[in-house]
Amino acid sequence: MNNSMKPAIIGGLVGGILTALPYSTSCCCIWGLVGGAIAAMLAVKESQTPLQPGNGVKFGAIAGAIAAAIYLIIGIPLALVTGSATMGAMQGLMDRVNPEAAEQFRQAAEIMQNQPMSERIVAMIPGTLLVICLLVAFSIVGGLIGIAIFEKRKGGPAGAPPPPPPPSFGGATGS
Amino acid sequence: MPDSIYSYVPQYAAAQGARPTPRALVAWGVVAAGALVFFAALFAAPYAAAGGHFSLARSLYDGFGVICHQQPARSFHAWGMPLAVCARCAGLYAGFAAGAILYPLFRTLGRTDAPARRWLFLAAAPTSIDFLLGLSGLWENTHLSRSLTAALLGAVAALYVVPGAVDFAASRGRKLFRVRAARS
Repeated sequence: MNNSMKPAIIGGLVGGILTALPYSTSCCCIWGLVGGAIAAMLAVKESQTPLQPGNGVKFGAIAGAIAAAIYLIIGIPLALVTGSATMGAMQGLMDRVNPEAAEQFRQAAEIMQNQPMSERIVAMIPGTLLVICLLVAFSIVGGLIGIAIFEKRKGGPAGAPPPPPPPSFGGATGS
Repeated sequence: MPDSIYSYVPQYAAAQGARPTPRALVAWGVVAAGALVFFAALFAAPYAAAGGHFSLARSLYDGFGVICHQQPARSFHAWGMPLAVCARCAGLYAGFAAGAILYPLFRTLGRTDAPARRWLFLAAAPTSIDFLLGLSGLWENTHLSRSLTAALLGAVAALYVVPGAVDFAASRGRKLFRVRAARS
């Protein structure tokens, strides 16, 4: 395994598994951020030279992509199982806050519940794409913040002194 | 024959505090526009539900359900329906969008270093205290306290994200430039 990939994979695994678990989503986008931040923290630890702020984008994006893949593998089957519970909760909400639209929603929900599995999976695609985008975006933000928090060393490529000019440069201009 | 000194390409330029490059402007624009679109999407879910577009509403509520508990009692409402996330999350994203948009007023886009870490921890303190006081039952927090304290954290978080995005855009741009130069 490429050493530069290992932090991102570990961060992605943590973010993906925690996101996919049902009833673990009560903390404001925290798991995507945590996944990206863990990837950044491990990358900082493994790197011999100081990492630049922009490296957080790379580690966060890879961690987010891995987290999204794990969500697809674990979260989608779980969402299919718990889908009726979600619809029930939404129905209860509609009954309370918007009774006029509740009857329409009930009809739409019945149609969705009676759909075959293949159509239900197709109906989940937009929401799943949104989740993937959110996971990647939050992991990138987590990676950027993680680098800012965990990279305490100064210097690096952008802060290094300029290299000397090549030996062929000299005062022989115009000669 | 030695090269002319005029053909020397500087290997290092002190970018801190320098004028923003076009790439820095693009990076800031992407972050600010993304944050704004994200914040607008929070309102799209109740708007779609109120308009009878239940499939779209369900997709949005389901998608945002992965990042928030979405309890109606703890959420702002629009068009008779709760936003796609709770009041604390909505405040966090509103603050982040405001922080990203107003970033150039506080720091030059030429800088790629993040502020000191202590400011991020200090900004996280009010919303953490608000959350813990509410959790312990010592104080009943409100929509306003939840959203305002989280907005402070979101706004400060943007100060750490934009420099990273600017640095990333600059380094990627340099690499692309090198690849193109090598090909030509």
